[in-house]
Amino acid sequence: MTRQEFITTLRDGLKKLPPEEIAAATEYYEEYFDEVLESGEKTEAEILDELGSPKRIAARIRAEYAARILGGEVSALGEKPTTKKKLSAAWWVVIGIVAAPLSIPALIGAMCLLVGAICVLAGLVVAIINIAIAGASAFVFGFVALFDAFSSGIMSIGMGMVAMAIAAAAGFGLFIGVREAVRAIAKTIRNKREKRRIRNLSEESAGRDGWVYVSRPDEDEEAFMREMEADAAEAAALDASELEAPEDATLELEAPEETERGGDNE
Amino acid sequence: MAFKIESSLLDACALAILNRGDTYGYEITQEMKSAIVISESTLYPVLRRLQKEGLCRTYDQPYQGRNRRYYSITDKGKAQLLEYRKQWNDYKTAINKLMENERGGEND
Repeated sequence: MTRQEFITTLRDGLKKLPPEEIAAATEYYEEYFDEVLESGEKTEAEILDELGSPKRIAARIRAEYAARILGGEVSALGEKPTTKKKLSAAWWVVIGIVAAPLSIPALIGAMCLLVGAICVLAGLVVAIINIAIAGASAFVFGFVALFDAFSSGIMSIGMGMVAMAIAAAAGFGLFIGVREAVRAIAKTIRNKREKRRIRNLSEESAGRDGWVYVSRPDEDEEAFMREMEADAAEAAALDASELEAPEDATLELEAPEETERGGDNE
Repeated sequence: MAFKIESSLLDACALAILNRGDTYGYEITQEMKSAIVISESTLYPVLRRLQKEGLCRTYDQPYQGRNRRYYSITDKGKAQLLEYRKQWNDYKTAINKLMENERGGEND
């Protein structure tokens, strides 16, 4: 991984947060890279190694953000996202009522468009079937005509084959197009549902504890928790190894105890 | 480390560092690391939280052709630090008392 990839992954992990949060975090880490590189103490690879997974860093930032926003800790700053949410809901109702003379015709228009699209689709299907039938009959007729008029028969066979090929190609194209459209719509609906689920989840966990991890959209919770546990174990191992180096003799005396007590701290 | 460092303790440590004078992210990291084992991914959320709670504020200053973001403690931050110091003292005394008592009386 390069510095650029680190920043890109970090940004990607934060994309659901407000732009100012993303900017603040990326600026912070850009500055961190600059500072360490200028100090000459470490290479880019060493910094990346030390920082660890940008996904995990993003998860921590999201957790902090969720706790801050959903925990209502920012109320002192006048930033109250919950009231903002309610306000926007109220706004939608007001807009809906005020815009009724416009929105109802617009709704009818949208429905007409939908019906139109379905008609066009049906028309295309019928046309393709017709071409296929015409092609097939021309093909069959050509064989019958071969005995009366050889050249006309051959031409009819050829035209029939061409028509059937066109019908097959058009049918295939239409099938692919419809399938992709259905997939795109299904994906949009799924994403919306997922977003709502994550929001509910983070609201729940924020109420429970000030310091939580927010689940990622594309992974199930169990896998995420497993990863977090692995991270924690890794961090604990790191702590232990770092402890042996600095400071004085008392730390060495405590070291054997530490392995026994490592697990039970809460 | 056998003891987990809780987030309010990190807040208190960061505030104590800022109370000595304005400084920038990397220096805060170094200061923290000189005392406790802490990863970089831990510090940024701490600073962001302090900033958003109005306990510190930031300003940018050009440095070697780029920006350096300085963190500065606010009055609210100073008040909070006083409170943290008081609570830490109580906590420290209580734990010390417990730990030393255990060592003194050797009856299981």
